[in-house]
Amino acid sequence: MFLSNVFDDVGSLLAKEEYVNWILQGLAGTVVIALIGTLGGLLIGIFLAFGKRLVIEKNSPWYQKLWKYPLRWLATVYSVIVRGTPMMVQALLFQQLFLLFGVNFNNIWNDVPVFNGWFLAGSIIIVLNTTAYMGEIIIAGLNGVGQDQIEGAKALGMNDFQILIHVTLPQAIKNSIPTIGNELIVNIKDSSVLNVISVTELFFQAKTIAGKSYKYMAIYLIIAACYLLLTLLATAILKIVSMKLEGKKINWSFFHYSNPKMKGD
Amino acid sequence: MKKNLSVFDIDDYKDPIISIEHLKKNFDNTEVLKDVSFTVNKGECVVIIGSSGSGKSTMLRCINLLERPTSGSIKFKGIDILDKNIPVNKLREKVSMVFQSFDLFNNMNVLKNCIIGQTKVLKRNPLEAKKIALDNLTKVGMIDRKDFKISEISGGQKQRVAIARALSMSPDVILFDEPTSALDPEMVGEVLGVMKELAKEGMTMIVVTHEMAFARDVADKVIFMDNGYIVETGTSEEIFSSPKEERTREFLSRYIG
Repeated sequence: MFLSNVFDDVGSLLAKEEYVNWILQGLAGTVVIALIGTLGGLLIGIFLAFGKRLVIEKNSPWYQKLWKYPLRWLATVYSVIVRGTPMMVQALLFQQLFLLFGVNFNNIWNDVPVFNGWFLAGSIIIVLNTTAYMGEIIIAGLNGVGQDQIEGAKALGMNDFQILIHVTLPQAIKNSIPTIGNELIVNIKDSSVLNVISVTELFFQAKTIAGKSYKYMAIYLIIAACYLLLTLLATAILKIVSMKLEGKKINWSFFHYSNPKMKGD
Repeated sequence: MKKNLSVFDIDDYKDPIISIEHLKKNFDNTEVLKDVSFTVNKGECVVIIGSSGSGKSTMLRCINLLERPTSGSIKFKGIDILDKNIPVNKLREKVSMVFQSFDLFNNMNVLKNCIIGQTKVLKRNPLEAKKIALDNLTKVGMIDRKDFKISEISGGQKQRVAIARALSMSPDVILFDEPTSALDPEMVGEVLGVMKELAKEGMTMIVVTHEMAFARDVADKVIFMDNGYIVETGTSEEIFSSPKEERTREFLSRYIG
C-alpha cells in the first residue's frame, strides 16, 4: 500500500540520527531567523512609519523641507518596492549585489553550523523585508489612536515627539500586537524561500535529506508537520500574550472563533 | 528667540489676564468668528453661552492656539501670543484645557494621566509630581480610583480626572470646552460640583457650556455668542434677569420656561 510505504519511509528517516540532527538544525534556523526578522523588522518598521508619516506644512521653514521631503520619499519608495517584489527575488538580488562588491557569504563563518554567512545574509533580507510590512502595521496603529488624545496631549504643552513616545506609539504597538504576531507566523513559513541562498532552515535541510535519501514524500511530510507545529505554537503564545496584556483570564479554547464581548455599557 | 523662554512666568502683570480684540477665524471660506472682543480678569469665571455653531468652541480653542486665528489679537498677561516667536507650548503650560471628550490617555492609569504632563513638560521631579497629582485627585474626589485604567471609570469620573490633570499643571487659566455635554444627566452634577469649587477658590476659568443653571450660579461674567459675534456681555444677573438684546431673550427662553 502506498500510505504504509510512506509511513515506513518516515520511520526510517527518523531512525537515522544524522537526518534527525539536520531537521533539528533546520528547526533552530527557522525559529531564530523568523524571530530576528519579526523583531528587527518591528524596530526598523517604527522608523519607516515615522518617515512615511512626516508632516510637511506649506509654511514649514525651508531647512525642514530640505530633509523631510527626501526622507518621506525614500520611505515611501522603499515600502512600495519591498512589498511589491517576492522575498526570494530580493534574496537573490542581495546575493548578486554583494558578489559584485566581492563579498561572498560562503566565506563568512563557514565552519559554524546553521549560523553561518548565509544565515547572516538571510537575516538581513528577512529584516529588510519585514520592515516594509511592519511600517504599514505601525502606521495603521498610529492612525487608530484617537485624535482626541493627541489634542489632550497638545493642550498639556507636549511637543510632537513627546506625544509620539508617551501617547501614540505605545498604544499603536499594543493595538497591533495581533497583526505583529501574524507577521511572525508569516515569517516562520516564508523564511523557507531563503533556501535559494542556502540558509540552513527547515526547507533547505529537507531538500538536502531528500537528495540523499530519495524519500521525497516522507521528508516533506515531516517538515510540513514541523511548520504546523511551529505556527500553532506561535499562535498559542501570541494569544496568551495578548490576553495577558488585556488583563483577561487565559481562555484555552483560542483556536475557535469566539464572539468578542462588547465593552462597557 | 524660540528658546525655553519662560515669557509667561510673570506674576506682576496687570489685569486683564486675557484680552481678546477683533478676533476673526476662517475655515477655508467659512467665517466662524467674525469680530470677537472681550477680557478676562484674574480669578474670574467667565461663562460663554450660545447655540451650537455660534463659534464658542473655536473661540476657546484660539486662546491656547489649538486653532490659529485669522486676524485680531490675543494677549495673555499682556503678551501678544500670536507673535510668531512665542513658544506655543510655554503658553499651553499656563493655559490648561478640559475637553468635551475627556481626551485622557488610554495607555496610562488615572494617576499617571495626572503626572505625565508635569514630569515631561514642566520637568518636575517625579515625587513632587506624584504628590501634586494625588492632591488634585483628592480635590476632585477620585483618589480612591487612582490606580484604575481609563476604560474602567465612568464618563463623569473621566471628566473629573481630566480636571485633576489640568489642575496638576498649576495653570493660570483653565478653559472648559463643553465639559458636561458628553455626560448623561446623572453625571453632570458631579463635574459641575468640582467646577463650582474651583471657581470659589478663585481659579480663572473660561467655560463654554449649555448648563444655564451653572452659568447663572457661578459665572462672574456671561458672554452670549451668536453667529460668530458676541451679542451681549454682562453679569449673570444682567444676562439672565434682564437681557437687553432680543436674540439673547429668544435663546434663553428655550432654556428657561
